[in-house]
Amino acid sequence: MNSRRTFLKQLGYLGVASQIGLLYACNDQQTIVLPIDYAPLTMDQAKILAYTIEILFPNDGNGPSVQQLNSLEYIIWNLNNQNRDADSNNYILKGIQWIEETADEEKQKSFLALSDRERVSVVDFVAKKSWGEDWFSAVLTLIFESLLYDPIYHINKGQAGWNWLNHQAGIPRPNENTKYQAVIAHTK
Amino acid sequence: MTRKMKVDNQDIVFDVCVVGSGAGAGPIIFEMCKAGKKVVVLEKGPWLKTIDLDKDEMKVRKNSHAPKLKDEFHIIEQQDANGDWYKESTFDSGWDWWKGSLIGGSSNFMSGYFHRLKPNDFKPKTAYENIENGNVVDWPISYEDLEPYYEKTERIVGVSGKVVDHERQEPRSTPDFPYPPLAENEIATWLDEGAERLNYKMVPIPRAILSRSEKNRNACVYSNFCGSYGCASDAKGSSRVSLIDKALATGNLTILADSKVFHLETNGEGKIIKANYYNKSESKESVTANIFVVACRSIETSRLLLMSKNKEFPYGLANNSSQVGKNLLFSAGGSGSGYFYKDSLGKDKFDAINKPGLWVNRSIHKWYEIEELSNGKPVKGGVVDFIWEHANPMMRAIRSKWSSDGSLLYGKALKENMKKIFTEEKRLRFEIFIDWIPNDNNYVSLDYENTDKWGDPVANIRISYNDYSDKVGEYLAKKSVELLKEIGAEDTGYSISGTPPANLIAGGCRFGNDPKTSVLDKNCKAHEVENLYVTDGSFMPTGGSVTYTWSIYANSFRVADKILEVI
Repeated sequence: MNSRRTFLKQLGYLGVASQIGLLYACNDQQTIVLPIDYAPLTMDQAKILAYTIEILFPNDGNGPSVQQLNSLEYIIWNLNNQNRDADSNNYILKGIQWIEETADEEKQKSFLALSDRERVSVVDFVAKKSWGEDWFSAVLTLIFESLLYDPIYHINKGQAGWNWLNHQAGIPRPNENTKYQAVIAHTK
Repeated sequence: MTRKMKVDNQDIVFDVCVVGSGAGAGPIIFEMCKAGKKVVVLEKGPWLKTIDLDKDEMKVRKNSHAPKLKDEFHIIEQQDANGDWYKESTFDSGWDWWKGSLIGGSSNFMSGYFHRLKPNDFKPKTAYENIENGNVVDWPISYEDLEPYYEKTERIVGVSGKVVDHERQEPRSTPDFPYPPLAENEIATWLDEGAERLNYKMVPIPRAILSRSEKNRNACVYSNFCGSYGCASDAKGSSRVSLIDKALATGNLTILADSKVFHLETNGEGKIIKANYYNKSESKESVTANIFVVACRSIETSRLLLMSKNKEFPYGLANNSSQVGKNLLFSAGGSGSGYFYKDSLGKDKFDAINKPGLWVNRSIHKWYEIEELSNGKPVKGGVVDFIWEHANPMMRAIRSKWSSDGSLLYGKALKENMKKIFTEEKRLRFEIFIDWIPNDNNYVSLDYENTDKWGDPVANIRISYNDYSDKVGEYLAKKSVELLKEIGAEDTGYSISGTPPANLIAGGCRFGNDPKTSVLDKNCKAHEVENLYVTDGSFMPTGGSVTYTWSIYANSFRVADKILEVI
């Protein structure tokens, strides 16, 4: 797992994260958090992905936010996981490019230069395309993993996902000796 | 180099070398060690203990206890809509056929739903209507030959359950199971009562899970995470816990984990003298033994024999009749489900069934033979098992992202749907098990154009599904849906599929009396090789309409007795 330290990248002019609904009304920009190390993504790619997952799984008061789940860092960790299928990772990267291309075609702006309302509009447009639906589905599965996998992987903070869904995890839970990275180091 | 095992400074030739350590290997290991024989086990995977196994969904979804597909994959060969054969690597498709590579094999991760074969499963050609293009044959042994070993498995591996009187009950040498039934969810009673109203008969499913503790194993703790997960209490009857650990206590067992056998070497006179393997650092080593037992699941067993060719066996070990790899079997069938909603049931009834951990453990055997479809001889049907949707949350989450019209949900609508699925509904599933009809287009061969990380040819698996199974599957599914509706389930549905489940594989080295049409004799010794036995599911010429594991355990116990007669 990459460094757990993150810093706030204020991409709008207001510094406090809030609900998207409110931001729509103010035409503000959603506040997103990028990890310090977002490779293999460029900063712009990381921002596009961050905004997109905020729309796919919004902080709307019903359940945890992607920031609480650490979803972005989890997706980036997957992109760096050499044991994950390279095609699946390339697909995530291509989808980010498709979002940017669609914003350019439909709004004549970069996705990052759009207001929150415009970004939602682009996501709604993309979701109606079969290629867009497939890509969002793949991204949502990764968000779900950050929602429902064990917090030992620095996701699902404070068991926020499990608590929201009244999910009772299996016992015993993984520990430092049995977690994925430890097993993979031995068996792969 | 040849690995001479040293015991008390003496080089030894093992009495028995066992390749693999799953359900087909465990009884051999246990019985040989108990009889004082020196046994060496060569297992491709690592030696993990109970403490190493947890309920981590990430590892399960990433199949972390199995080989990496980049390093070891299969080639799957199927027909397209025009009937043309095409091949695809499992590395490219992601269709992972590995199910646990570690001491104890995939038995570590089984669900332990145990069913015996029934007497007519041993004579399907005689007992049932002829199936066109099916290589159906009668077995060289009868149910009566295997029954004592089903009973032995109940005692030694540990099977819990309750015998009830029903029209398809197999003959038993004991009145009931050695372990009482596991605790059941309220839904089991609903099923019993609903089935009675429809004139069906529900049968408790035996489970290879201890319902009470014994010396070195604890009873089931109802963790709610069983199938696909290792067992933390050792209640599950994996080969590792129920047999290998006990064999270790004899002092007669040597386990070589991380040891991948790639060739069995013969002496030019029809006898194996060495098992050659790669050790963890990928160097070649070998062990010597008097008897060799291969049990590394059907596909890899056939692959190993085919790879072990030499001047004496130019087409592969024990393959001078070209039967190795042929008549591969899977389990045909399908699945279905219905939903119980809190809104419809009311809080009290919903809360009564919404209790994690407790088992459904109910099945229907009534349609194992279907008179209604018969035109003379009985038509072979199958078994239906009823189970809760697995407790793992990811499958439910993935289901939640699709709306009823099939479009993707995201945003607020997604979160609302997810919350509802997790907190206000229960999904009761059923699984149908019917015979996979063996035919000339179900086989394992070697693909020399594709090699694994050691440079050895991978297994090419040709698959051909017989439409006969669809007719039977539809019949069972419709009956099962009727029962779900009878007990109040909503939004019921089912699907019958010709896609083989990668966890239910048998055949490839069928046993029989004729060396021209079978690889093994009735004692599972290779016709052509003096000291080679195969004891995983490879021996099965037909699969019956149940899961295989209990029959694999029982047959391995039977073969152990045959080996002890000659060793």
